[in-house]
Amino acid sequence: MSRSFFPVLLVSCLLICAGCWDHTPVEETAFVVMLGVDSDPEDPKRTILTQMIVLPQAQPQGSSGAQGGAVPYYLVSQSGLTLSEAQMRALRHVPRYIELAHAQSLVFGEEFAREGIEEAVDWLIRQPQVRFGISIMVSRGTAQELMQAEPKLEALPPIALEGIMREPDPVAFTFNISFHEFAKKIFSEREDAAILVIERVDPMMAKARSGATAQAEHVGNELHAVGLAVFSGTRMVGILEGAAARGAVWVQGSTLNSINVPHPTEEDRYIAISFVKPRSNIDVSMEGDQLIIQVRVSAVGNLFEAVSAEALPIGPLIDEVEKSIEYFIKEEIEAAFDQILHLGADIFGIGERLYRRSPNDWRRVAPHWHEVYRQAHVDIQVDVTVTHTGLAR
Amino acid sequence: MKPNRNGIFTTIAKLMRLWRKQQKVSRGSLTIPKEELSGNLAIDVEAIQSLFGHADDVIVRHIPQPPGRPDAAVVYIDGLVSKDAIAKQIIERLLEPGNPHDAHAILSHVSAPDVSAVHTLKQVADALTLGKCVLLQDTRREAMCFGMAEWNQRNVEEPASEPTVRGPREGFTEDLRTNIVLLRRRLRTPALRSERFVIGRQSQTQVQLLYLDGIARDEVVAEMRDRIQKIDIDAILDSNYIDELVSDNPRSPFPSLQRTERPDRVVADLLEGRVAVIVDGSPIVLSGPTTLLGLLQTSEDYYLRYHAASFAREIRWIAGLIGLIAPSVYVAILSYHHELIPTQLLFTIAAGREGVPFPPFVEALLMETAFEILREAGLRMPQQIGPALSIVGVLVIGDAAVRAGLVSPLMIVVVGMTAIATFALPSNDLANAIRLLRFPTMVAAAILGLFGVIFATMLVAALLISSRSLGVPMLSPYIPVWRRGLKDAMVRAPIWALRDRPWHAVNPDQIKRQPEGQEPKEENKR
Repeated sequence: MSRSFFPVLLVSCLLICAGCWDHTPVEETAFVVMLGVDSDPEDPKRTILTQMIVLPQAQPQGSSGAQGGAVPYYLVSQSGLTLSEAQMRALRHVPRYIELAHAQSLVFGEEFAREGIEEAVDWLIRQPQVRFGISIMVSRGTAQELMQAEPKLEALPPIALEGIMREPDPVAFTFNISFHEFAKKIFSEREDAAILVIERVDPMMAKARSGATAQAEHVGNELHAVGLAVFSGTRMVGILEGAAARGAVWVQGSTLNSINVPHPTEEDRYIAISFVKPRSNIDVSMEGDQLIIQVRVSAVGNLFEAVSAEALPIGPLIDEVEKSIEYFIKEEIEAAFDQILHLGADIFGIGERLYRRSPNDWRRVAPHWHEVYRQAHVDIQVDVTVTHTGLAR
Repeated sequence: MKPNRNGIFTTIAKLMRLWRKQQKVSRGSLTIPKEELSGNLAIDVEAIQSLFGHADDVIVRHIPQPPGRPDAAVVYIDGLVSKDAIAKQIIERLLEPGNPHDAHAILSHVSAPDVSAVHTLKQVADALTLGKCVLLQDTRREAMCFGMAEWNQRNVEEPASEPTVRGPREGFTEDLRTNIVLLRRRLRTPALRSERFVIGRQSQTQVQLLYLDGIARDEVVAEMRDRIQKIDIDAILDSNYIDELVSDNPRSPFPSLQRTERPDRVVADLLEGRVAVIVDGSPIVLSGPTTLLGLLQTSEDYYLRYHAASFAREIRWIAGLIGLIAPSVYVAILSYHHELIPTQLLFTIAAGREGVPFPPFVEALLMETAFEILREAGLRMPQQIGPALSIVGVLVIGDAAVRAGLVSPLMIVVVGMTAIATFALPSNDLANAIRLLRFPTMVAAAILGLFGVIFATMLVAALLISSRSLGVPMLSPYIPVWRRGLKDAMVRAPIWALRDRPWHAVNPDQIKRQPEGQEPKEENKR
């Protein structure tokens, strides 16, 4: 009797505890792949949440489904006093259960980032579905606009973003950080975050034909990383672009794929150098009240392209080339430090380094750390060795 | 009814007990009288004929003798004996003038090789059904039986259910004698013991218990002998009757004995100390104790280089796992755990499922059932219709179901994978068990998600862990662990390293199979 009763009891207990309640079939789910957060221009208290929902029927698929040309997603935007409210509102007109677990990237609108992103970070931390590995970035302009891009090669913008964050773009590769790292830096006293600024871009950026009639300003459908949004605490305080952004890459111990330096002998000619084995070392110390940051960067360069009419007798000139490369890199690093010291954004974690190095010093300067940081003296040393002068086929 | 917490269950239990009592019907009344032969030829012949109900295939040939000598009669069953042999070796001799009238002296006259004397009607009946020819003589209370059995039988062919690429192509037949010969030819040792049982009140089926004396563990042999002797049943039509009647785990879907059509496999089992049971009329031979590992091994594992054999074994484990849980994992992940699927794949799946009206569980159930029907139909159908079935199967299951929006393309992949996986298992019985357990696992997955899959898998594991085969744990040598046995488990070590027989099947002093140092030396190569 009890032998047959016990298993029945056991199984019926199981039925109560979990299961069917959480049942959400794939076909009844709306998958969000990208999230955008903007401030509401009409009401400064409200925030706009834009969700990019995938349309499965427009997904390219085997023999049965391919419907060329259809945009495989649509955007849902709602504003609310809180992000939760904005999401709740979206639920009203999305006929399916919204799932955020597959969100790949989260974009802050530029304005929203400048006003402070703690609300969004708080929402994300509490939100059970969004993964901590989601990529965080800032858009040039509003996030909503950025999310309307329709990249050609990839069906979905977040997938395209993932693509451009691979090695070829050193800035994007170096500063693509997950929400997990971002949140850690945002809430740290001794470190600030730097994340990518993404912009829509026309792939035909360079127009070869000159003299054509000036085109109306064209918003491109591709995405690219234009620079680094640097934060101080939870607010974005500035954007590093061009040389400064590249300088930041060097300081992070990463490398640019190539730089151009003037040809040692010929005017208006350049040679391109690519780098391997980049190293960087940041040493932080206090001398009295003066913060001293020592940056050592070294790399091995390969001659990549030498634009010249004749074969290059570069061997004897190697020292000169190395010097000009070192100078070039140093300038970029200086540009980076100039800006971040000015903005008071500690994106290299100088405070953390000081704390590790000498906690007592840190405790002494902590109350007025920002002033100390802004006044820091930066000493930069670059050491480049060009080992390969290149092989011509 | 007095208040009782488990009122309804007690009532059901009582009803069950009552029902069981009624099931105890009296045994069949057809018993053969044990009376002895009377010594009167006419009476004895009549007794035999009435025992068989005057069946017209029971032939009686009277051999009249000159006066002063007792008349004789030869009785046999038509079709079970060689009439030529009877005519030449018995009747002809008896008709010769001057033959001896003493029954025992007949032996000096008759050239039949297999002769025995019987005294009772029952023995006569047994001898007749075994294909013997019985010689009765007036005034003698004893009958002589001559082994003249001969009937049509299948030749030794390649086993259909266990084909092999490398290895012998012989398979067992329905004839017990042939089967034993197939074994004796591979195992030329007098230690091969063969014990005979006759089981089946009506069928009187011959069952042979084989083992290698000294090697096979005495307790195991005694246990098997004991279990076979306890069988009391109407008829044994196939070795599965024995399997179910001697099983350690009568309620488990997993087989408790190894079944094979291959003599080489049985010989290998005997050499590892197992016992084999051959049933007359069945080409499937049982051997045991077996283990789950044994069910996942083929004799070909030993005919290939050990690397390939080990790899094949791993593949079978994976196939078993896929066969058990693949549809359940599909159901669980698509119903509960979307996050586990890579994003791109998820959208492809979602696109495929767009417009499918059923939840994944119903979809999976539908397709699995459709496949089971196809499989069953394929088994039952005349071979000529086979191609028609496969075309319909391919169209219905493969393409049309997807086009009609009944199921998603991925489901087809999963069902196909599962089906192929179960066919990769060498033991048909194990594959059947897994096929069967797949459905409850799917239900568990539909209700509880991956947790349910794990739960169901754990129940299956618990079932296996508690299962035994002739007292040996099914998961041995893993549970309990026997380290030397691991050499021939998930992997197969080289032949020269297989120095031990399985400890559980052999006598303790027989564990060593071969001396050390069999490994060929590297320096031999020039």
